[in-house]
Amino acid sequence: MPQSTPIYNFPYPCEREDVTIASFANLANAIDAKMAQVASDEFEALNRYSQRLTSASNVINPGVDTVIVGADSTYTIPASGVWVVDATTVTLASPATITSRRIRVRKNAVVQYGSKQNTEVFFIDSRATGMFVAAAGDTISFQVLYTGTGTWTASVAWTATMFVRIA
Amino acid sequence: MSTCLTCSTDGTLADVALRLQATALEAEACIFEQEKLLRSAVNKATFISTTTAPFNRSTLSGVYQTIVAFGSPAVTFDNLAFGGFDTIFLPGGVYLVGCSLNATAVGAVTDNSERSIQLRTISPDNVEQNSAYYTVYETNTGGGMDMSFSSVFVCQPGEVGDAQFAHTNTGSDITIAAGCVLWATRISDISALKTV
Repeated sequence: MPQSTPIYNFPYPCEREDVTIASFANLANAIDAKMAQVASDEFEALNRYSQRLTSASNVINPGVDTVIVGADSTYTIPASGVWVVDATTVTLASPATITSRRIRVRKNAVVQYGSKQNTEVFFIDSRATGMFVAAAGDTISFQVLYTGTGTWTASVAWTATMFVRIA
Repeated sequence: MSTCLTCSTDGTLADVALRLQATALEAEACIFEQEKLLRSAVNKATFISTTTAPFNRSTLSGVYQTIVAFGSPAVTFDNLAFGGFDTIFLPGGVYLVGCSLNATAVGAVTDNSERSIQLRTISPDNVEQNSAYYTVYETNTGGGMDMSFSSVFVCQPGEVGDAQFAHTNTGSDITIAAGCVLWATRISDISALKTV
């Protein structure tokens, strides 16, 4: 009765058993399959999931917490793991006045974290960054809120990077 | 010639089965060592903690108070085996560290008052080694202040991570809402061990 190694189950014939061509082939194929898996791990180590895009422009009204829509406004997590998502508002057309600005990062429509800026004196875009665990298929999206007058046209520039792969 | 597998030196075929067994075990041992190294490269030491309850920071007008271990923190993710929420031990290395929270006045809002987070590490002899600050100013537009930032720290073995919060809202205390996140992920060793 053939035995196998304790970790990867590489098969080998026992002493006094008939050694056939299959004995060699089975061991070689098992080692080859394991090496292919290790090569895949190496690829994942060198090529972490990472995405950097800017969403389509959105018109945002004062006091309305607006979910950003349009092209490249969401990201579907490709593999389960620990992710860092960084998002910054990009002003395309300024409102008449602005006293505060906030951007929030969402996972499956649930707010994870955000950044709010007091813009009474300075006109600065908001940047939110944070880390969370996400499963394959989770959707990352963004929402923006400002106070002031007039409409604000903006897009969101964002990056999503995997730091730890889960399973 | 492979450095993992040894060649048979005798010429008999009687122990072919034993030779295959030895080959299988040697291959497994060699591959296992390589796989362990790859797994370490793929899975950077990382921890995330998230508070499950709100907690207040009193009006000490700009004095930093620790927020670690407050708000009933729970482990969201940990492959670092850190020491606990009162002492976050970081094995030596270069880390990306971060914090996100919402700070809202319990009562009266002091317009344009300061809200500030400090992330830092402390050596075993209680000397601050790394420090990063993030400050915003209360907008008084409702909903408190969302704050999030990250920084890169170089940590020596034995340093302890800490997060502090300060505010100048003289009108009332500040509540840190549930969902305050502290996180750290190891980017690399402190120094390159091998150059090409």
